[in-house]
Amino acid sequence: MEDRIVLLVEDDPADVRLVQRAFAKVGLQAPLVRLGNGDDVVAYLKGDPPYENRAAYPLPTVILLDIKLPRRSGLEVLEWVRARKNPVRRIPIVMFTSSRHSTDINGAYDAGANSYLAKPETTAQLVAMAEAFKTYWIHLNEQPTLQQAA
Amino acid sequence: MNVRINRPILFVEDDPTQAKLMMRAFEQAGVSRGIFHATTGEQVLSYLNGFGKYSDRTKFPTPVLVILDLRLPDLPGLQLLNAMRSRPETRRIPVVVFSGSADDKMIAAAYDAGANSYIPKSGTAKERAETVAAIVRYWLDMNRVPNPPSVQTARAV
Repeated sequence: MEDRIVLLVEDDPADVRLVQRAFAKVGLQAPLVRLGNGDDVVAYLKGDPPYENRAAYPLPTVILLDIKLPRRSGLEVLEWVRARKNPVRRIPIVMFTSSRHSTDINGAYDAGANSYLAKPETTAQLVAMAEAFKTYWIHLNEQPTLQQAA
Repeated sequence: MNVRINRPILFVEDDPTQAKLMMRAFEQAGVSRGIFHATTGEQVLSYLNGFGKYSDRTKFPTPVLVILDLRLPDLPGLQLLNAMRSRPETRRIPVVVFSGSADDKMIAAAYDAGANSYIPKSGTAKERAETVAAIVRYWLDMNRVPNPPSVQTARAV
């Protein structure tokens, strides 16, 4: 499990703190990398500067992706990831957003989201969600291999 | 957290022993009545596309989740997944591949074909119960479900 990394893409610092606290509470061992806008996610996944060093900036096991983001929206990031020719296209992406609108939910699945979570309203619900997320995506799900075939 | 939607899990498994064990695990996880068990790819496609007796959507609602064994007697599971993803009626339905194979190539192929998740079949009864409970907890209680394109009603918040 030590090579498992969660990439949290969230621009609101208050939401970042809530998620960090919820994951700490459920004992998530996997490191949580946080990025605040869509362009940074693309740079990170491409390994563009300042993210060239894969040892320091490893590819994530799963991405928790907000929809409303500065510069490039979550859906644009999702479409970018799924259009890659390399194994990056297979990274599981879980949308994590305050929107509960069916147009957003349907649009996310159409663009290739693996799952869609609506940000809960209470801390207790967020902790329960963090626990279910950890159990499912970190412990249970088989992640695709992300290394390029030689 | 979600209010559980009154739509079934479509569970696809051709091996009777495996199916029986899994159905017991679903029962333990509290969803015994919300499972439709299919044994062939043809049956799955008929159900999903509403052919024949499955045209009655009140009796056979669009599933909230498909749990798919890749080895089926009549149709490779990946082909079935591709067929689902190519049709508007079925392209958004979350599919968890449930497989005895942990081969990297198979896992990659499943994600490329549009699997939402890939879960290895578990060995012991305890592991199976935990796996099924986690699947149910995540996909029924946490995940937000897409609508089939024909049903464009907004869901209650």
